[in-house]
Amino acid sequence: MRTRDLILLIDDSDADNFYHRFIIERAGVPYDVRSTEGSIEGYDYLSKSLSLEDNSQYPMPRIIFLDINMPAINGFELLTKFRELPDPWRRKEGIKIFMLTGSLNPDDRARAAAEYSDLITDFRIKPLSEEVVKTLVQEYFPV
Amino acid sequence: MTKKRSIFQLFGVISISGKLNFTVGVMATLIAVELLTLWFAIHTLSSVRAYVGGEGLWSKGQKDAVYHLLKYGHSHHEADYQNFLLFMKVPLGDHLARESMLKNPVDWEGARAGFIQGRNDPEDIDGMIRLMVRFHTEPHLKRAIDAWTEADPQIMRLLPLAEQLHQEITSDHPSQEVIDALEAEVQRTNENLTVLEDNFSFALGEGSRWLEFVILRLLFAVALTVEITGLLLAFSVSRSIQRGLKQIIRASRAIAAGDFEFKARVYSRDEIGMVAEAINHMADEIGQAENRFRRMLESAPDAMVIVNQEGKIRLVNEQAEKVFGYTRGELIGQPIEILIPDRFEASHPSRRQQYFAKPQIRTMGMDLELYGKRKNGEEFPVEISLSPLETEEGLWVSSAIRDISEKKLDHLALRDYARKLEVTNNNLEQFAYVASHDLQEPLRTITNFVTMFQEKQQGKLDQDSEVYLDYIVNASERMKALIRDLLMYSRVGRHHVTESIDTAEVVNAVLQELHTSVQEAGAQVTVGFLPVLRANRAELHELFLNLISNAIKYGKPGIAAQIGIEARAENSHWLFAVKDNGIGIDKAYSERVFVIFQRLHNQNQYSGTGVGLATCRKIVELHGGRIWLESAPGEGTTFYFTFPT
Repeated sequence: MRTRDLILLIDDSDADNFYHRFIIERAGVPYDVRSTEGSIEGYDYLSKSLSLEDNSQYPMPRIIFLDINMPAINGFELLTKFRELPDPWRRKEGIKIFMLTGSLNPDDRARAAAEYSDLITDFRIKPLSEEVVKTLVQEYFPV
Repeated sequence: MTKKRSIFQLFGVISISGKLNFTVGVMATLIAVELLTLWFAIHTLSSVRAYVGGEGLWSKGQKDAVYHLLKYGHSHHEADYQNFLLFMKVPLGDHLARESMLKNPVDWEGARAGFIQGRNDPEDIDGMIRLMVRFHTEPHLKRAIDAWTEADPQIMRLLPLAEQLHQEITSDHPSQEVIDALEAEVQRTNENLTVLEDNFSFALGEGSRWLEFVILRLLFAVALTVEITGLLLAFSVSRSIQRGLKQIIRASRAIAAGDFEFKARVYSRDEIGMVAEAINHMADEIGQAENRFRRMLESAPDAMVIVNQEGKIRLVNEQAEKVFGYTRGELIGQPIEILIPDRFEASHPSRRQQYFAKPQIRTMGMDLELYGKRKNGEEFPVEISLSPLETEEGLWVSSAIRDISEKKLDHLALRDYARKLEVTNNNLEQFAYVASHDLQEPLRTITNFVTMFQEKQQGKLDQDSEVYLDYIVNASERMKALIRDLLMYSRVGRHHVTESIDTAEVVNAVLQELHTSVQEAGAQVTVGFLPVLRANRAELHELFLNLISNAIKYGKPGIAAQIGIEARAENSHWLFAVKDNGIGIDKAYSERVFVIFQRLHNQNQYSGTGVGLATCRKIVELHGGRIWLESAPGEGTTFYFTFPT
């Protein structure tokens, strides 16, 4: 019954998820927003979306905003785990992963480019703004 | 030509003793020939002399016979006639000998008997016969023989004359006339004979003088031949020896001078030639050994400088040229002190002598602060390894010199880096402390005013605004906790004063402080043996506070927490254990939990800052101990840490 594409927020911070959902809705882009409470939950979501016969409860997102600093499994480690997922999901046209971080540490950016350029579309600093959301959507998913 | 060479080649193969034997043999043969010639010549000469003697006897016999025959003519004594016959025997014997020698083949017996009758010495007789047989065609001898041949019939005429005289005298009527005629005939024959005897004598005399001359010349020629041959042979042998020796000497000198390429020419295959070949072989061997040594020397990574007992440089390698900036030519023969800084130069010779007195392999390292001096006067730190080197020229010392400027620089750079790191670390801690301290103030303002705002707007706000306000309050609380913990973390070690502390007391104090949460969680805390030790009281308190509150916080939901705290002595430290029956930690995270800001849970599961265990580790390590955990998910966790006794 899904009518709109989905944006998935993977971030352990409630406040950030709340705020980003607010910003994305305000930006007026035609996407639903789902958020998970951390990396483990984000991984579970994607696994279910891939493996369940009826994945209407867990639709495959088109855009993923992924936080780096998360407890237990950080954003990079989660990307590594993503590689273990059944292959088709990454090849599906239009799944874009954007790395989000509150850190200004340039090392993170370098690491993302060096090790995960096959998975990451771009790198953004938290918090998202309406402007950024609009630009990203327009750039990668022009109507 | 080829034959001549092959003879020389053959001569070349003969050993030196063979050559000498050959030379002596040739000489001996020649001398034997000379002696033989001498013997033969003297024999011949003595035979000639014997003929002269024989002629004397012959003439005397004939003259005596004639004298007695003439006397008989006057005296008519039979005795005189008998004497004539007696004296005639001598020339008759010689006649017989002549006749025998004329026979073909020579009648040696007849000739001998004849000569004996001729009163010749039996010793001379064989020589006389041989002379006549061999040299009867020789002109002088031939003249003598002619004279003899002519004289012989004359003397034979005396016999019939004497016979007639004897018959006349012994007849009944001797005629004085007949006797006179006969005597005159005898007289005439005698006169003829005298001429012939003289001829014979002269011819033999001349012959013997000629023979003497010939013999002298022959002897001289033979002697000369012996001399010349001897000289030539001696010269040739000695020259060949000398030539070979010269090559050997040149080769030996070349080897001594270090030229192993020079090869002695091998002229012969005798002992000299063998020595020359042996020397060439030896030069090859030494050359190879030398080459190996040089390659080793050149391939050495260090500068190699080899010095003799006088401290003069004898050998250097390429690395030494590079390191010291001299060329090989500039170094060889120079005193080693040119490579040593001036201030050590004076004391070096005596130290060098000490080393030569007791040479052994020795390394002098960085601790000695040794320096080398380059050509441009620049000094540089070195490590030197010395080892004695036995050579033909006495004991040398090989020194391997390593330029350790870079090593020293690295050493210094590392020290510098460590100091900078320490400064940076201090600055960072200072910054963290100041920052967290100063952050408290604006945060306090936020919390205060949010609280005031919340109270004032109580019930007036819409639902969204209430939610926003909650987020703000929660974030402020979290930030307060973060700053508090960060401040605690950075405060560890700032005033690190230690004192003797009873840990049991500290644990009690902590449990007092946590009284409420212990009660809320319904936790059971068992405290075992706890030692007295030296530590910083505030930090020890913070350590137990963090560990015990964690044990309460991460308890399994619905199950009463059981917490055990105890310690025991181990080798050189106290081993503490804080054990709980909580949710446990996956092995994968057992290191990460001690890293600052690293958390395993969401805020809405277990609130926290991720600083507590990092603080614990900082405290334990500051006291010289170590902290770790043992756990499995669902099985509870035990934190261990050590404190030195």
